[in-house]
Amino acid sequence: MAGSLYALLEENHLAYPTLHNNAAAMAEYAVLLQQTCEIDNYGVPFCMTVEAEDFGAEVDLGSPLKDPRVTRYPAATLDQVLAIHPAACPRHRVTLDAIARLTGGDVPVIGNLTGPTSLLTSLMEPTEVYRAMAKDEKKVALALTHLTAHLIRFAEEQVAAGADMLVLADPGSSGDIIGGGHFRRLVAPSLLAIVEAVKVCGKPVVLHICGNIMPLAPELAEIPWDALSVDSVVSLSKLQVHFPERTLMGNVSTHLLAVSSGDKIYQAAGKAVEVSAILAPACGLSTTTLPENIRSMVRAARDAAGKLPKYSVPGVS
Amino acid sequence: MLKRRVQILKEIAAAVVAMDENGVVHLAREALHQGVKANEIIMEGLSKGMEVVGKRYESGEYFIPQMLVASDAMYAAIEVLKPHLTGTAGKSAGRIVIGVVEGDTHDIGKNLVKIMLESSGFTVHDLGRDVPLQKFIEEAEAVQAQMICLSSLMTTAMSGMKEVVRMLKTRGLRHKYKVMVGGGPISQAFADAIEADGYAANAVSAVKKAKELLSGDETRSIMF
Repeated sequence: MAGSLYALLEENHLAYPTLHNNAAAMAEYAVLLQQTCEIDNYGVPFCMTVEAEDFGAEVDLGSPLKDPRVTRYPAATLDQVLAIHPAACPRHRVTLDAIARLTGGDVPVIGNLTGPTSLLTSLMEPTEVYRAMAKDEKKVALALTHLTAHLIRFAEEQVAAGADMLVLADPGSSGDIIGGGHFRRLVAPSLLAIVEAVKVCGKPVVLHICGNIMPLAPELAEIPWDALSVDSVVSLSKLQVHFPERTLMGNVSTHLLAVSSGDKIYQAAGKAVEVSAILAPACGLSTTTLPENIRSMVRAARDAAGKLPKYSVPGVS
Repeated sequence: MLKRRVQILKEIAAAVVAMDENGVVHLAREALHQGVKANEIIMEGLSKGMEVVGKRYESGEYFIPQMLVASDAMYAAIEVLKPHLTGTAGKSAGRIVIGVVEGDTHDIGKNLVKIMLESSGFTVHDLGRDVPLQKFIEEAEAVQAQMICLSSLMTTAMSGMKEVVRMLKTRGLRHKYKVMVGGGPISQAFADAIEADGYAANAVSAVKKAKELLSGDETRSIMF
């Protein structure tokens, strides 16, 4: 779980956007987030644009309220994507340096990696990518393979820098967007390759896919992820049927985390933790999320696990 | 002739569903050649095809790639038909301004809503993504729209929707426009809270909701 939170930046008078482009600031913010929100890990980076920058995308680092985003695609076609030779951008190195700075203590470090579909839709107009899936599947497969080779290198570098675990997030391959057929033929092979590469390095992998992943369950079962992180639209108990012996992660609504108060979040988190072995936000956090709301989620997890004496949360009996 | 007309319109609809752009364009030309009116080709052929596409999307048979390519086929045929549309060709179901609110660049959902609204006969003015809030109102005023559709996938951009409704009220324009909202984090409860007129969970229900909201309105403009 990693995100740039406006309230945390304001309270601590942190300059922006150094947490995105300076290794010391990135590591410092990761520690601040971990301590303030009482979460169990450090995680970097705080955006999904580093890999796109490696491929030449122009990125606006945004503001404390606006997450970084791609402002110019480096390609108009899949052929142009295939012609790009990626090179580590400065923030790629910053991320690795931040991981190295965070390792060595008791808190595990998570390296965050953007999935191949999300990366492809950051390199050219997403509608063109989805159109190509219906018209030129072979070329989409080639492009995804091309991106995957780079993502595997970045994953291996993150592990070498000291990451204890990787979170591979591919919201662009949501079941709602592309459906089971395209996921099976195009995306699953790339996700499998990345997960296997990290496993070869001896580190666990969390896979996150957005939206309704129920149609993708058979394909997801074939990938050796260590935990599957899912969106709040997915019923964890229904999903568990497909993966009886495996670890599910999630799925506290990010909207709830952003707009609700501690007691409601505690209740929702308490429900999620009945099935979810690892409690986490269901998707990317809004910058307006209050740290205390994340803390409510974390405390629900700890209470459920019986790790700590129960906190008294107003409104929760 | 009648049998042939019915048959060719069915074939056009089927070609849209099959995402066969060349086939749709070829059949549209053939239908024109046979004397079928352009308006009829759109409403009884292309729109019927998109209706089936919408149903397949709702049932989980089609997804965004198929929706996009099927609608490409529809738009390609409309380009062929445009010169043949006459002033009396068809009444618009309504004039709508649509866009993704400022702070958000995710526009796939908005594009699908636009496609389905257009294929159902609405005239849609698309402002694109990351649209400054006042632009929605300026455009709605400029094109004399009846409805403003606001889309957002990001929680942070949702507040912009509330602001558009507030700006409409402040300027005394709220009564002129129906406001419909949609997107990943949006719900009926949110729509109610910001006093929007409607919420739609997906592109197909957006069409139903738009029809419902504008059912009392006079239709004015020429389709496409």
